[in-house]
Amino acid sequence: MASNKECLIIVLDVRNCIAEEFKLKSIKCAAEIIKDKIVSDKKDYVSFVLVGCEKSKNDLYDADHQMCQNVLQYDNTQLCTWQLLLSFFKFVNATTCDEGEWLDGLKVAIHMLHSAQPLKCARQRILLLYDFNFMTQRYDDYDKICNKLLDESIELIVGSLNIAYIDNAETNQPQAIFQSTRKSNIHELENQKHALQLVSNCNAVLCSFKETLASVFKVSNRRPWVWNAKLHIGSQISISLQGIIAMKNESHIKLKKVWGEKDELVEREERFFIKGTEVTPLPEDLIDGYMLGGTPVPYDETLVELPPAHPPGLHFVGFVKHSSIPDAYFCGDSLYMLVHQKGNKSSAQKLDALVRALIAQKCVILCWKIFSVKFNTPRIVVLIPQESKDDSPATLYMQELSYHAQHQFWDFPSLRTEKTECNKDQLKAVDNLIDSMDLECTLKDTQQPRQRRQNDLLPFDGLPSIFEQNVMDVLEYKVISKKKDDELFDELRKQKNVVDVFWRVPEPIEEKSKQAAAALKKLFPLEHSYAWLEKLKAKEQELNPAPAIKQESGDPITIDSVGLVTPVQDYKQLLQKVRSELNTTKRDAQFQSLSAQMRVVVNTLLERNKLDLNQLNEVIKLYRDSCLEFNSFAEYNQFAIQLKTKASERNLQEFWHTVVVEKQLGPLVLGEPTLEDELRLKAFYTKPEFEVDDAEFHGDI
Amino acid sequence: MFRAQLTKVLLLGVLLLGGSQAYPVRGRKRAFGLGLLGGALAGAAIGHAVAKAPGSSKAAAPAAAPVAQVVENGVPDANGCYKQTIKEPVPGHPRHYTETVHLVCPPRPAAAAPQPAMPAHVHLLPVAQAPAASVYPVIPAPAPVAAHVVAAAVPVVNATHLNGTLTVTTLDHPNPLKNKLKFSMSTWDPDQDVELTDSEDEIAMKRDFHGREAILFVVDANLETERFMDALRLIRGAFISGMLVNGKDLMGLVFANTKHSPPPQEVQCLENITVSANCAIFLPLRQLTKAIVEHYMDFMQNAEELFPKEYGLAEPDGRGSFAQMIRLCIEMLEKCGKKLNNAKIVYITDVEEPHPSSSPEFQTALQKASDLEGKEFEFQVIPMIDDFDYEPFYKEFITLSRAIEIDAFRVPDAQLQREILEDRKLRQDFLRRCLGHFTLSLGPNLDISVQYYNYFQRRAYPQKVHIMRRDNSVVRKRRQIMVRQQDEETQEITHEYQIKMTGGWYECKIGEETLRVSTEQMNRVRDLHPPGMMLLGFKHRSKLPSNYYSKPCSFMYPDDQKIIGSKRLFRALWQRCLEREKIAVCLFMCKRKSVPRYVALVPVEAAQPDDKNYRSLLSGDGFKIVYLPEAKHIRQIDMCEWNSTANTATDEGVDFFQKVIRKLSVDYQPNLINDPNLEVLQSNLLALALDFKTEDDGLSQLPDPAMQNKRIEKLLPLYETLFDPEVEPAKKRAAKSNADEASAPKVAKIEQDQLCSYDFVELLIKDNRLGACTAQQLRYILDQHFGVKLAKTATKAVLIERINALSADC
Repeated sequence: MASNKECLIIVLDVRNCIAEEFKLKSIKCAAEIIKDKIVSDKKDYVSFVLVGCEKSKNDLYDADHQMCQNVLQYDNTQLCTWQLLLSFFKFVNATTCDEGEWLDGLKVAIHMLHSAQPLKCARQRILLLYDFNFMTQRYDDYDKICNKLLDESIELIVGSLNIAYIDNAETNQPQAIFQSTRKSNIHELENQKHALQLVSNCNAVLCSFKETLASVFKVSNRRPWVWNAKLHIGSQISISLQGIIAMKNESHIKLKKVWGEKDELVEREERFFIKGTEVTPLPEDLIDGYMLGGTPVPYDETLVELPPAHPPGLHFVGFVKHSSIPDAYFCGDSLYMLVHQKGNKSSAQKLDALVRALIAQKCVILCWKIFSVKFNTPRIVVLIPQESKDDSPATLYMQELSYHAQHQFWDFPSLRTEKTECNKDQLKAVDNLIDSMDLECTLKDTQQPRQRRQNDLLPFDGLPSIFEQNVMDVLEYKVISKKKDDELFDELRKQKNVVDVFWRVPEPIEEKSKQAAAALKKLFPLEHSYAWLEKLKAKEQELNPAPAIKQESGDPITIDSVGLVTPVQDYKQLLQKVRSELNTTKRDAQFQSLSAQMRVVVNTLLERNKLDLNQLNEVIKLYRDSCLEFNSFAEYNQFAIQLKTKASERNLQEFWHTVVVEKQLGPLVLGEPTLEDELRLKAFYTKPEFEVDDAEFHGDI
Repeated sequence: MFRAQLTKVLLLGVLLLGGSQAYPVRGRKRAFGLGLLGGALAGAAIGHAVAKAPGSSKAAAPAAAPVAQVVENGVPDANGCYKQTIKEPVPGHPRHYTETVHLVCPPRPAAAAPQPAMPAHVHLLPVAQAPAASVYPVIPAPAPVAAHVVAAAVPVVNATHLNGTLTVTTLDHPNPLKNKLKFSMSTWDPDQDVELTDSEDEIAMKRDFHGREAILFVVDANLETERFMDALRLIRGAFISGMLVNGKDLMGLVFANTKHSPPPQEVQCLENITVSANCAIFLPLRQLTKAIVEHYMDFMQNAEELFPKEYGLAEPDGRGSFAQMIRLCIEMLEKCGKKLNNAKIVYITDVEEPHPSSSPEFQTALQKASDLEGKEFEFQVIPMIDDFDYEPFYKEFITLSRAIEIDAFRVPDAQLQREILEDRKLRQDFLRRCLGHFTLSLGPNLDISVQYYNYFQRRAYPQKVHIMRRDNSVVRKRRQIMVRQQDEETQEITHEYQIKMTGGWYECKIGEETLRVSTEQMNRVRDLHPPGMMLLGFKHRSKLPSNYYSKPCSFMYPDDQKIIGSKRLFRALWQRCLEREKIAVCLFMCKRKSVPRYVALVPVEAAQPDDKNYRSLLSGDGFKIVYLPEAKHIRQIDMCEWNSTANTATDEGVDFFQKVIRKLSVDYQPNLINDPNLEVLQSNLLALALDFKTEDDGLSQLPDPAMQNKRIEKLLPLYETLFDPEVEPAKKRAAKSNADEASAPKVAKIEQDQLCSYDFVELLIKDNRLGACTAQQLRYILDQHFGVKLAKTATKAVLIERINALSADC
């Protein structure tokens, strides 16, 4: 992801007079920031300042002992590593006292940013986590510090307790305020006033704890990566555009994958196989090709003339009505935003005119996107207009569409049928559920203080990455506790919060939603299907088979087919069942069906890469005997021939020699063998043509 | 997979047994238990399915292996080294095993022993990996010297090949490390490989089922010549597009209501199939090949004349038994010899009623529908007339075969059906092909069962293969990761094993200590929560920004099979959301180990019956699942450098573009938009294989700007007066912040020429002055003096470290 590196100093309030909860929250907040930077392998620098320590140790204090007392500075400003996280946890445990000024903390942090300038970070930020409580603070340097922050464009984020939001009456923008249940004393009011003024004085972001992390992670990028392209309409009209990734579905977790120990050599090799047999062809032996159904068709530039590469850029197809494009056909993993080429005024005006015209006509542009000469596959895209706003010029969103050949045409029966018709009460209960779980309208009056910045319990632009959070938490846990994995996961499971924190209805509507759901349940009978439960049970049984059942021979037969796990036992059981059938026609029919199954089993076993010769011997022998018993000579003899073909096709020499030949599992002979039979058998047992010379086996036999 | 198979089998069994349950809906008749034959057939099918399930072989084999065990020892080579396969149980998964192949080399007392004593426990197995001398050009010869000669004689052509030979030679001969590095590093460097972990989420787009798809076409002989030929052309289209798009599908063709039953070309396929009277099998279910398609085309050429003679029309009224036809189709599908996951019977006809409604045959035919339902075979009728009436027979037959209520039947548009059939597409039965089932939790103890679907499949290109020039046999290429241990002194490979892509581990550094996180552990992180969807709340539809995009949408539809009553509650919720313009926000984990995502459920409605465009095929009634981007996926871009008041266009400019829009407006017709590259490839393949000429006009191409110019000809002069000519902005960057300085072009501090000399480079290394070189120069040093190429992502620090390490080795 294109983002410039930053230097972030986190200033934490550790004074004795603050609540333990506040301290824990700020440590957690700092830890989350470090974890995120480690796991996503960011090259950002981080350091810490503690305000309210017994010991004073920082560069400013060292220079002048009157300055910045009770402020402790972390040794160095460094990249985020697990080691840093561990040291941070140690560092915050410094002995604390009641004294400590937040402006001193800021001073030290600014000084640290100055000393970190050789690290060449593009962005400098300070995160201040401070409780603006009743303790007196000096504000002599307040203006000076504010100006310094502003002049050096150092961004300040302040997280504190008792922060709530209201919508500003004039701008309708959310605004942070201090909210308290009890009457604040004069010092507290003074402190809060100064904190609030930071917003106007130096563009600081003041936020509640819940919003702090989001504010820290929300880093805007001024110089994103761009794809330069021209949009041509006909050959005359052309607009120079730059494509910027607006959204991309990607994982930010970057972990180093290792395949071998340090002293081992790891190589990725290509191997070639023909029907499962490895070959080492020369490059000139091979030709590229494609499968056309079951037929391989050689295909390379010597055989066909490949078309020339398409010129890169956006090739206009037509204007279409926006409503005619179904968003269900959008594909790809990213959304691009097209903006005019930076500094190109003519293009900017053309794009602005085009976008406004498109919006007026409710149209979008359909065009082909050719990314570059190298990535030359054309993709059909729609360009959706976005009018200019205060902070951005007119743009087009570019969304890829899937092709007709990919589309699925489902046939869904109507939902509105007689059987699913609902009565008034039922619909009312559903309405009640919808109303009581409303995520946005809980606070009709936006002047009432609320917990979140937006008047929404689950804002769409702030959804967490659950998997990434889980990975980070597990890694953190592992690093800290150094527990074995089983214990680790067991413990994590117990700590329900880790995972289930996301799987929860937002707290303000939790209770109401429970009641609504309970009411709904009464009106809509729901019942787990018996057949489904049976299926589930069968599934489970298959996962954890109870071996006891199969061993007890006296039990009623529990299986209905020969499986691959215990074919011999299965077959014996089923054979017993067939034998017990009194009607001879039925019995023969059953045997035929059973023997067909058995042949399939043998064939499947023979197709395995490693043959279990003992098992095969047993299975085939059993099958042969049963064929003898049920007078099924023809079937077996045909099967024996199949075996031979298979052995020769798949080059199963060992199987052929040690099972078929040695155990004499060839065709059956009725009564005493005649000379003809003898000759036939001899012909059968002669070795089939194996691909590889089997001299060794000759020696053995 | 085995589980799925077994479930299917069990379900089949349950359905067979449970078929006798009364079905009290409007007194419709149902086919009851199957006869003896049916039972036997089903039994065979069950057995077949069990035996065929490839997963079952895995489950069976390792049943008795509690700890690591040697399963196979290969034949020792000239050095006494042999391959040993070791199987170990995966911790925590009693039924999963990993198999690793190791190269075991016993310590050699002396190099002279030509044929070392064989270890006693070695099985004399023919090793599949060692091909015969006569067949393959490069082989491990028995004597080390010979092997070396072979390897040396091979011309150096490309890295792939060298890798192949190199493996052979290193096993036999100690090879200098430098060479080795040169060969392997050129393509890939394990040190630099950074793996992203979000790959499993892709599964949802893949087919969620195994086995093949089968389409059995049945053409009614009652179709008069012209329609009959149209039907054959449809099938030809389906054959060809089937071959191009999904080559593994099985297809078959049967003629129904014929007088005679001439055998198909492949006569032996009839051996275990009883052909019903008045039916003729033209093609049993087969994967299409060049030969089959050619045979079909030959038949088509003369079909007009030959068909009436050779096949004829059933006597007296052209009505063969419909039930028998279905029976034959079922038998063919069941005995096709391949595992099927989705089988369809496509009946092409123009007769609305196969039998008079009062006849007993009519009832027998209807009863066959439940056989289809039990076996999960789909049935579709493709009418060759536009105003086809489904009422007399097919509405009931189809709803019965799909076990849905008769009033849920939606009459499809005949013409559209034919059009999409030619693309080998059919309206898919919702029951069979969902991506997955899950429960939607609306509150504590309030779950309904639902299933979800994709709107489109992955892009399918014909499968690329390597072919042997000699005999056109298909060569599969597999990438393998080999790990080798080397003796430090002799540089000899002492141990070698193969590792899967999914193997290996992740590393975290804590100071000096390294922490390992196995792939298995990563999987457990994914597995911390059971799959399902949970309702979090509702919002107004307008709150969903139109420009939010994360991944392709899915579609959700109720499933009344698991939790009875789900459909009604689902409908109520859907209906109220639709009417009140609400969307539901949920947390969704589609299957185990997938990534949980926030989704918005947007109610959508099926197109009205008179709507006959492609859009009407999009979906039915249900919820569209819109995946919401995570906060981290939304890039925050500061547009201040683009923003300027000078950007605003004049109203004349806007008017101009409005006129252009009016001139160049088109209708969106998805069926006309196809991948041009794919179409070229496909037409070339057809030309090569079948001598098919595709007309150039038929191919999708990039639009011709000249045509567009012509349409807006009159407007163009205005364009030049309204807008200034484009001026490329100066490339110079304003020097303002530190970042700019960092990205300014590097001026080399060291002359390129000097780097050619290794002595100079050595000096740089000694004086620790490598940092003065540019990354480009460092790469040059690595390549030139050490024969190493590092990944493009390698940073300067890594490059320097590598050079230092390599020079220390020298």
